Amino acid sequence: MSARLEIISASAGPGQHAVLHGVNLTVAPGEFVCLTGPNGAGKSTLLRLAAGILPAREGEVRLGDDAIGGLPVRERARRMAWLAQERSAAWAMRGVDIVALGRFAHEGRPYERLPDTARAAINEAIGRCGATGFAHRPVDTLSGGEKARIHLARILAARAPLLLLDEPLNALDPRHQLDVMALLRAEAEAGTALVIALHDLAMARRHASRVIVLDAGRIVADGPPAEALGPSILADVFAVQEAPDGGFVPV
Amino acid sequence: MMPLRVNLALAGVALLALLAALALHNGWADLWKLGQPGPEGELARILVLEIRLPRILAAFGVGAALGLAGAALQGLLRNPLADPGVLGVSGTSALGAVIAVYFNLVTLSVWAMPGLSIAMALGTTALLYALGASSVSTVRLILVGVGLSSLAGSLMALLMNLAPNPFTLSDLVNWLLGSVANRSWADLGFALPFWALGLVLVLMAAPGLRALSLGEDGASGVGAHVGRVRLLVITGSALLTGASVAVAGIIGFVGIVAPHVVRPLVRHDPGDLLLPSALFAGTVLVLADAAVRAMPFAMEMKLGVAAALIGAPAFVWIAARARGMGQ
Repeated sequence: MSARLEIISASAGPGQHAVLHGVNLTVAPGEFVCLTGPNGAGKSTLLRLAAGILPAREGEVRLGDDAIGGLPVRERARRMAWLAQERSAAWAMRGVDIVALGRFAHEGRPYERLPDTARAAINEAIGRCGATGFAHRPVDTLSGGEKARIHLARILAARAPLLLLDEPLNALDPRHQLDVMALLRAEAEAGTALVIALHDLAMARRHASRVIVLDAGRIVADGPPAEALGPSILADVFAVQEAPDGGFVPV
Repeated sequence: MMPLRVNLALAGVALLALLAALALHNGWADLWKLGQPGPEGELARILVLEIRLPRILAAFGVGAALGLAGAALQGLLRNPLADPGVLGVSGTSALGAVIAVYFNLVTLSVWAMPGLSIAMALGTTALLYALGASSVSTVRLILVGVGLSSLAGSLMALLMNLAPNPFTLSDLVNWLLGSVANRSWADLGFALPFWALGLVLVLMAAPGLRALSLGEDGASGVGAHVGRVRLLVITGSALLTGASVAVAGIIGFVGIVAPHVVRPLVRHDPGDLLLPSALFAGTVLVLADAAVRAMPFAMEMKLGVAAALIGAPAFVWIAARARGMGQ
C-alpha cells in the first residue's frame, strides 16, 4: 500500500468549466507539500482531484500502483484522508462521533460501539488536536476553531498514509495554527505524505518541505520553499513583495 | 443510552400501547374471553382477532413505515423537515390509489391499488432525485414537494368532482383523509412484503447515512458509497410510503415528528435513528387511532385528520426552530 500520489497531465473542473490544465505532480511518502496560489488558482480543485472526489477530464491520477478512479471508495479512503474547505457536519452529533467517521472505511460505527484499538486511535487524534475538552459536546455548540480541530482530528484518526487538507488553518487562532503545523510536520517525518492548501506564505515557507504555486490552473513553481516562493513568483503571481520587517506588501 | 436499550424500551412501550388499544372499550374482559369455548368466546375472538387486531396492526405498520421513511429521507437530505408527506410522495402515491379506485382497476387485480400507489411513490422519489434533491437548497426542494402535493391534490379533487356516485366519492375521501378503520388481514398481507423490503433496504443504508452527515463529498471522502446509499433510501422509503398509503391513505406529519422526538435518545446519530423512529411513530399512530375510536362523535374522526391536527403544529414548531434551512 504505497502512499505515492501521481497526477499525470490532468485537467479537471466542476461542470463545463475547466479549472486545472495539464497538471503534473508526484508526491512521495514523507513529503510535506504546501499548495499555494491566489484565489481561484485551482488549489481546492487540485485537492479534490487528488482525493478522487472530482474525476479527471483528461490525464490520470494514480495512488501507489492503482488508478484512483478504479479503486473502490472504501479502499480509496483507507489510503488517503481528505479535508474539504467547508467543514460541514449536519445534526447535533458529538465531536467524538464526527472523529469516528474518520475511521468509516475501517469500521462505520459511533464511538461507543468501536473496538478498543479504534477508540484509542480516535482519542489520540483528539488529544493531538487539543480537542479533548470539547470532544463530547454536540458539534453545533462548538466555535469555528473548535469545529476545525474536531475535523482535523477526524483526518488524523483515519491514520491514512496520504493526507490532503484544504486550508487546515482556517478559523484557528495563531497558537493553534502553529501547533497544527508542527503536528503535520511530525506526521510527515513519520512517513505520511501531506499536501495542504495554504494562503499563509510565511507559514508555508517555514514548515513545508516543498511548495507548489498554482496560478490560473497551472503549476508555475514547484520546489523547496525559498526557491518556489522567490521574489519573481511573489511579484508575478501574488503581486506582493517582501517588506524589510518580514511581512508582505503590495508590489 | 445505547441504541439497543433505546430500541428495547421503545418496543416495550409499543407493545403496551398495542395491548391497551386491543382492550379498549370493554377493558381486559374481551381478552380474557378469547380462550373460552362457546358463542361468547367466539364473539370475542371475532371482535378482537378479526376486527380490532388487524386495525391496530395496520395503524402500527403505517406509523412505523412512515417514521422509518421520514428518518431515512432526513438523513439522506440532511434536513429535519424531509418526510414523505412534505416531499409530495404521499400525495402522488394517494393519487395512484385514487386512480385505481376511480377507474375500477381494482376489479382487474387485487394488486392494482397497492401496485399503483407504490409505483407512484417510486416515480415521485426518483423525480425528486432527478431534480437534484441533494444539491438544490432545502427550501427549493420543499417547494417542489409542495408543488407536487398540490398537483396530486388537485387531480384527486378533479376525480372527486367527477365521481359518478356517492359511493365512489366516499371511497375517494377515505384515501384523502387517511384511516385504518375496517382494515382486514388481507390488507395487511398486501403491504407486509413491501414494508419488509423497504425496512431491509433502509437499514442497509444506516452506516452510509451516518457518513452523510459530513455532506455528500465528505461521505465519499471517508469511504461511503454515496450513490448506493441514495438508491437504498429512495427505493426503500418509496416502498414504505407507497404500501402505507395503499393501507391507510394519506397520514401526514408522523414522518417528521417521530425522528425529531427520538433523535436526542440516539445522540442525533442518523443511522441509529431509524429503528427508534419507526417504533415511536408506530406507537403514536396506535394511540392516536385508539383516541379516535374512543371519541364520542357520531361519525368517527379519521386517523389522518387526527394525525394532522397534532402533527401540523409540531411541524411549524420544528420548522421555526430549524437552523441552516437556507443552505
